[in-house]
Amino acid sequence: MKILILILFMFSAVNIFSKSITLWHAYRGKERKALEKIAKNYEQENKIKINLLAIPYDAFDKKLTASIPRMQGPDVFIFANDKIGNWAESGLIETLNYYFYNKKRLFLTLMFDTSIKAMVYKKKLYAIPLAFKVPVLFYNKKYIDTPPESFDELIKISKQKMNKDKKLFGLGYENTNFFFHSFLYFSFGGKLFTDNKKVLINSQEAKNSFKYAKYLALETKIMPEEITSAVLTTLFNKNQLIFVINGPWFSAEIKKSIDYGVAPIPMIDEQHKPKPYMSNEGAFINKYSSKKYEAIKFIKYLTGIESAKLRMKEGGQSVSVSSLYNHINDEKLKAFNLQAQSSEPISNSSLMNYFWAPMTQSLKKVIEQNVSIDKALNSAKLKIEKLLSK
Amino acid sequence: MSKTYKEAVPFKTILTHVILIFLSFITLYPVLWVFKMAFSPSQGFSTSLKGSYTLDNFITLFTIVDSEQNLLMVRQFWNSIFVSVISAFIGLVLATSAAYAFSRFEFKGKKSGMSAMLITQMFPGVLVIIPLYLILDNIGLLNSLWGLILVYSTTTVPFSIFMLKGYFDTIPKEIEEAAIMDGASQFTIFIKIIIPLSRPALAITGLFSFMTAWNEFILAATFMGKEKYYTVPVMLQSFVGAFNTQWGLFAAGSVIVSLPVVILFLYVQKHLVGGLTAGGIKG
Amino acid sequence: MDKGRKKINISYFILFTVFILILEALLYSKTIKMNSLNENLFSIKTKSNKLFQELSVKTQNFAPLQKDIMPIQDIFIFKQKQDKRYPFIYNRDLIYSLTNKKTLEENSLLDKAIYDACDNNKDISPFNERYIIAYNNEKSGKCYSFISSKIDKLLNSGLPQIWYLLIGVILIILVSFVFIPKNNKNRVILSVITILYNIFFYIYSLIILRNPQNIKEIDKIISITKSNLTQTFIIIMILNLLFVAFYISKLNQKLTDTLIKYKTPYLYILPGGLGIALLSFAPLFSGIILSFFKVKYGNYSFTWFENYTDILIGGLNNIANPEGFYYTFFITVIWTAVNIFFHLSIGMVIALVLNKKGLKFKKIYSIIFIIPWAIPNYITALIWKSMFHKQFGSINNFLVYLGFDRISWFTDTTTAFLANLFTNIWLGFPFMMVMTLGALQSIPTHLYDAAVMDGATKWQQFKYITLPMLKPALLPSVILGIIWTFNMFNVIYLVSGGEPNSSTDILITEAYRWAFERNGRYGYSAAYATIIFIVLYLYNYVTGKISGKGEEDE
Repeated sequence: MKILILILFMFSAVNIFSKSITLWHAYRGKERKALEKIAKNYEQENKIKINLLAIPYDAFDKKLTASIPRMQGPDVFIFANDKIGNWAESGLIETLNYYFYNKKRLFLTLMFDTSIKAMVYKKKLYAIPLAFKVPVLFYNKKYIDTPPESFDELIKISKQKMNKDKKLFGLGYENTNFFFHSFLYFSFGGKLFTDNKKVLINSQEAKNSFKYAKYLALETKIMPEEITSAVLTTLFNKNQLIFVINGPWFSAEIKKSIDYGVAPIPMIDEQHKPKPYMSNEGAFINKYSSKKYEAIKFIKYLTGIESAKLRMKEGGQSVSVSSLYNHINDEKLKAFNLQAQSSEPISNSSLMNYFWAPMTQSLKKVIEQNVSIDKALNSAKLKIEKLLSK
Repeated sequence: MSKTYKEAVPFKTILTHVILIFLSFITLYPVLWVFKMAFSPSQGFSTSLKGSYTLDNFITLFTIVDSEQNLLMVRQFWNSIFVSVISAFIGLVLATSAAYAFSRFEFKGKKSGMSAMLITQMFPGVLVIIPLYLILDNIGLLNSLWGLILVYSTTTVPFSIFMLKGYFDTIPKEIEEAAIMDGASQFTIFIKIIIPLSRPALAITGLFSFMTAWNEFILAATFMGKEKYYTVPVMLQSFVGAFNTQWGLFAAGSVIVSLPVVILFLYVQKHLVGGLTAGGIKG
Repeated sequence: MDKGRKKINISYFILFTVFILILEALLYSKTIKMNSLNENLFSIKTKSNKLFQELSVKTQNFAPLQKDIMPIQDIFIFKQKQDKRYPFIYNRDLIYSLTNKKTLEENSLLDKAIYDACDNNKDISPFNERYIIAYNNEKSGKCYSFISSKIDKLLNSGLPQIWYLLIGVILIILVSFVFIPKNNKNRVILSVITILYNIFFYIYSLIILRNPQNIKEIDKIISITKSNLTQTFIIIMILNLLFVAFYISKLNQKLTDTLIKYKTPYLYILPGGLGIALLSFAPLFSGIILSFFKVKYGNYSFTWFENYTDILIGGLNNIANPEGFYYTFFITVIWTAVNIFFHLSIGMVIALVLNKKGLKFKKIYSIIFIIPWAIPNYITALIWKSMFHKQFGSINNFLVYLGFDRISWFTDTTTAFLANLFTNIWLGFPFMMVMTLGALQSIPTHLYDAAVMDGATKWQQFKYITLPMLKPALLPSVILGIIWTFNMFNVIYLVSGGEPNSSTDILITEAYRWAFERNGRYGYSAAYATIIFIVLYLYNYVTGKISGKGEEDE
């Protein structure tokens, strides 16, 4: 009897072992439920088990780098694209070129160019895009019905309304966080670095973007001071903020009683269209996985149109499948779609990691500590160059 | 003699209470925020204490399920308690015997041993994730709560030894010498005399070991491969996203996470009485 | 006469070490190596003719898109030949680099070719790792691929296995020369024996890790996992230790006597000590070793003391620079001192008050005061940060209420430091309070009774009874508190974030930034961590001497 059980156990163990893949993600709430639903559907159709594991965002990278080289990593994982450079250099992720050019290569042309571009590093494709996040303009419909078309208009309306109400603020966005400053930086033509490790942050275009940010923050008087995301949420929810530039996650924090609209960020002026950072997340394959074929099949399903519809509808994601935006009536998704077309994907080069802290610090210096733009950017440039040379 | 205490001037008592209340207010003020966010329907970080209140966050917390519809919250709470209690217990056992040796015996290597205990505390833990991962992987305890217990209990041992040794030093040697003269063995003295007399120190050290294990996040998140093995801090951190945090759920989780510690402290307080005042010397 | 002996001893030592090093170097070069990690290449040096013949090479030139592709150098792909099974062994990435194909499309065509080479069979995946070993069995028409992950497991172990062995052997040598009395004969014996079984291990490893001579051996290599090799290393190290122990016990009577004499305390310490050695010291040790490496993109390169000179001497360039080592060190010291002072004073005062007999609501107060400790400090640190917000924070609101101006807390170093300070005091005083409460229990009440009889005031009781008796009990807590505050990461990172301009960063946050914000420069981070460690150790050593003197007075 015991032997029989043992044999059965071995059988089932073998079965389970050969027909399951592991997927790690950092989703919560709606997105997580949508992913679980998709996995369930796939399991039923294909008789293969998908083991999902949700990992806190803070621990994700560390867990991957610790476990993958030791054969304890997942088969598939979902994450943003900004660490691709690092992971590729460390040999952790698989190249997916074959998938990109299989017979049905039409499949990937369904997706936004910028999304795909975000997943390519040194001419190799490392992930299939799932969804993106891009900051857009949120406006309080209590104060304005239609979104402004230019920043001048925005400033004018703000000043008008603020005159009547002393507690009101016109515009809010995290102006000392480089991720949000990006809509100005890249719109003015600023660049961060070249492939040859040359640092370009003290160009005239970059300085112009800083100038404009300073102008918005200090001279127009329509913005609160020391803005954090908590400030934006609180003020907007108290009807004390008309315009907010923030990412899609902001809508989850808005109170149900606030009537608000979403639109692409208005033109800065005639020549400058806002170009905010776009964060892309994709599905990766572990280079040491032994079930890559099954993994690819699942990713194909996960990034396909049917799943994209589900993720969009139930998960609230702005999916990377561009065709799904053609006949959509949702104002939010329309805005994301439009903004996605004028956006800058976050660079996945490993160099990018050196820029976040110094650029954020420079913004803080210029806007909060009254340091001159030249000085701030020059010292940031020196710092980054020193880091690069080590 | 004790009557002189009861004649204490009422004014002093009132003053004491006033100061205590003032300090309590400062202590509790930030905590009010935690409660505010825990009971608020919005997931944003609050900047004021006004607003509507609801139990939604707590309900959501308790109904989080994984892909197999298992209730996670209760399971993870239990994981945390299991890991923390056992780690604290094992750590205490290991540390007490070692601390006793350090306190009562003179032996070669005593000084360097004590320094060694201290040394382990000095190296910041930022970089130990990968070595520990390797070690656990090689032992085979990687995706298991016992791996965490192993790591936690051994990392709390050094400072436990340090603190317990300090306490043991204050127990006068006369007690033991008396017992030896009565014919008791070293081990009996250890069990029957020293340990009961050290209840306060043991309680506090145990509490501290418990808390270290209870609050530990990064090792638990890195070593565990299934959500049902996660501990509570990992669950808490899962509400912190790349761009935003679900503060309502995080605050509600924080409240729940703090409760066992407070309860444990109350329990420990009972043991904070006694020690040498229990008439040990008079005998 | 002694000097002469010393000279001979040292030369033996050097000779022996050099010999072992050469041995290990040979061992290392013979094992399967990983080439430059940047290209993720891997090559088996199979220059064995036997393998050649058995594997039936078709062509010498690399020709993509053909089914019997045969790349250059050491990689082979073979087509099956009738009834025999032939392996496809190749390294896809190496092929990429060899073919110089740079476009996505061309790379993928190669993939396609590989995929097709297995007859497009859906049972296998062409993407398995860097090593694909596939059998094409013509009879069944199926393509089997072996998961070469196990080879990768063997080889991908961060620091090469050889380092562990090397370090172990050097330690053994050092230990033996310290403990074995000055007797050349015994040293020679020990050295010879160590060399002998190291040679034995060398041969054993050769057998295990040798280049595959035929397909069976490929199977064998595949079945060896990394943990097997690690186990072998561990066995060798234990052997080393046993030998030394054996010789020491025989040769060093004094040490053996010590062990027997103090066996009771040693036994008491053993269980805890083992755990600490394995799980506290090993990571610490590896952290220190890591500080001698430069880590870039997961590649480790040995750089001697470069990290340290960079931090310590590079920092001399501009001492006042807030991002430099010396400024950060200075701030860390001030941070620690001020914090401990307040933690101790506030904690002690509250503990003394709570300890009074007959205090009403004592339980409630103690619950209240334990709460800052109980709530996860991630959320409370951020709450404190928001309280210091210039426009909406409670603290500024309160100041305005009192008639003062709003302070911009985080744009000035002093105020940012104060913000961190208040937060950490709030977080940290419960610990000292609890410790003091515990310590107070050890003070016999009859001392107080006697003092009251002598007419001592409350203050005198405090000064002459409480304080002196608290000191020894609290000392460990204070020392630990100093160490923990020195390394208090959360508060600095979350509250001021090091602002303005890194001027409120302490050493531990700098270490963190190097590891996680500047692209995984773990070597640099480890150097910072080691410096922190050395500083704390020196501090403890110095104060230990001072307090040691104090203890003798009593």
